[in-house]
Amino acid sequence: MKYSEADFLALYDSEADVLYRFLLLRTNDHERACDIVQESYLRVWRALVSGTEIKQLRAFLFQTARNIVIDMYRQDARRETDSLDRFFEEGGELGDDAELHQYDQLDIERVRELLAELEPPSYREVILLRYALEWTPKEIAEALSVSENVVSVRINRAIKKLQSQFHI
Amino acid sequence: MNTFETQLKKAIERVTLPASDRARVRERLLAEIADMPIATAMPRHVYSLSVIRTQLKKTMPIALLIALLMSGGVSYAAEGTLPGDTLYPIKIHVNEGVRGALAGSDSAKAKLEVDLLNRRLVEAEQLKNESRLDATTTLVLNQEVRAHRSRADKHLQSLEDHHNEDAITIGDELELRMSGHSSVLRDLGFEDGDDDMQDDRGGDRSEGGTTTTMRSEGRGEGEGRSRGEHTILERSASTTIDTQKNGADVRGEREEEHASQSSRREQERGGRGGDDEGDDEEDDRPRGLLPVTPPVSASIGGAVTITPPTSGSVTTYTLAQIATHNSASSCYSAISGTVYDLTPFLNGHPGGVSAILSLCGRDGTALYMAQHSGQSRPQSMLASLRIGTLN
Repeated sequence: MKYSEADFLALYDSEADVLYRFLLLRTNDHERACDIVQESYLRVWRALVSGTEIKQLRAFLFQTARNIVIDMYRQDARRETDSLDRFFEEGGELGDDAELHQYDQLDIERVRELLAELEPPSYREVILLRYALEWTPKEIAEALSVSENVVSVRINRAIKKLQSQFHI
Repeated sequence: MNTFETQLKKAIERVTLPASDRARVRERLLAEIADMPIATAMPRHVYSLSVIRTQLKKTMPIALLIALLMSGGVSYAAEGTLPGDTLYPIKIHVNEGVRGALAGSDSAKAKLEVDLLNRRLVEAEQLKNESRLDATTTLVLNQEVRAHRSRADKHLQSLEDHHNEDAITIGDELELRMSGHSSVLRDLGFEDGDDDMQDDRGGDRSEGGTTTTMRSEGRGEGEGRSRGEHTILERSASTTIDTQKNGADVRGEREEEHASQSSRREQERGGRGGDDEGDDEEDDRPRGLLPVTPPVSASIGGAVTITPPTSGSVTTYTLAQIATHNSASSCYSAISGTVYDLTPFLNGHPGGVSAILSLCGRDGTALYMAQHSGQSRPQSMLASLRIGTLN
């Protein structure tokens, strides 16, 4: 499958938000999230130019982003502190630049609070991967090196926990 | 998905990339696109531009080529590339092709070829420094160097024939370039043909059964060292080497040729004795360049297809000779009395590399028959790889 520059730009226009969303919630660093979005797309472009066989452009983009995210996990593991945990532990706020629609602000604030209180950290992780990045449980399982079953269970429990707290 | 889950998802979805950053990143991507246009994207080997090369020779108007060169962009970007880079074919086939088309006199042409040859050698050194001098890039550069050398020699010969003094100047420059890069020349699979290195030729290699080839009249007799032992270059249709000489004894011919050429040139300069006039047939073979062991399996990755000679060969091999070709870099096998060079097929085998490797350097009849007895496709594949018969 040959992709044109237009295809590539269309991919940017349609998917940049999804990537950014996840990365922002994951890193709580607006600049870093933007950088990684950019880096992901640059890698896709270079792959296209180099003639790499790409069947599905979107799938390739997310595979690329996934690799970057996995690298992030490894770095975090080395630091022995999960950045998201640290963020919430330090009472961090979402970046000012995050463009949140005014009328939705409360919702996302509430979600953020709930996520902050959500324990253990692995629950947050699967929630973000599942709902911000829209990975399938299988993809999450691969990235976290756990079984798909564990991921499904984790998502279920995380949702239930969030839900119970939401209605408190 | 329950309501809460939906709400959660929706809440998360409301986070979007701010417009200013969205525009900034987009601009960065556009800049990247401008720098590296996808129009040049193509498989990573230089043979993909053979069409352009053919066009260059046949129909493309020179004015268009000049426009192409002058317009910068792709052509300009290609100039700094190395073998293995995407734009490298543009550089050597388009950019340099234009230079070739613009070079008028034999002097200019000879000089250009020397320049380009030097350029290839510099590239080889660069690649080597970057540890990118692998089988494929080695093969590409080997062929290019050989082609430039061959063409330079042709133009130099023509200059000599016309008693043009440029022949000496340019010839000297050629020698200088070659000797200045003798180390990387060896890496490319050449051996420096300068006097002090000439004695190295033949001796050790004839035992290894790698390169020494038979003289035409001796072909097929004796020990059958000829066909499969040609360097890949000699087997490649794209080189300009006179294929009729395919079976010639490289060593002997090289010496004669060297002598004859130095004699011609010495006569011009009135230098040391040039009375040993060797054969006087016209010879395009690059002087001073000797094929040695083929660069480690030029067929790696299947990027390069080498077609061994298929007909007219009556070369015979002994099992001892075949036994020296027992690896992925050179894999001969005898099957039912016929000898095959399976090297190019290693990665093409549907049943995997290891099945072929188990045939290398031995009589593979039993193994082959056990797997493919009576099958026509394997048989026709084999036929294309035939290099001789078992003695």
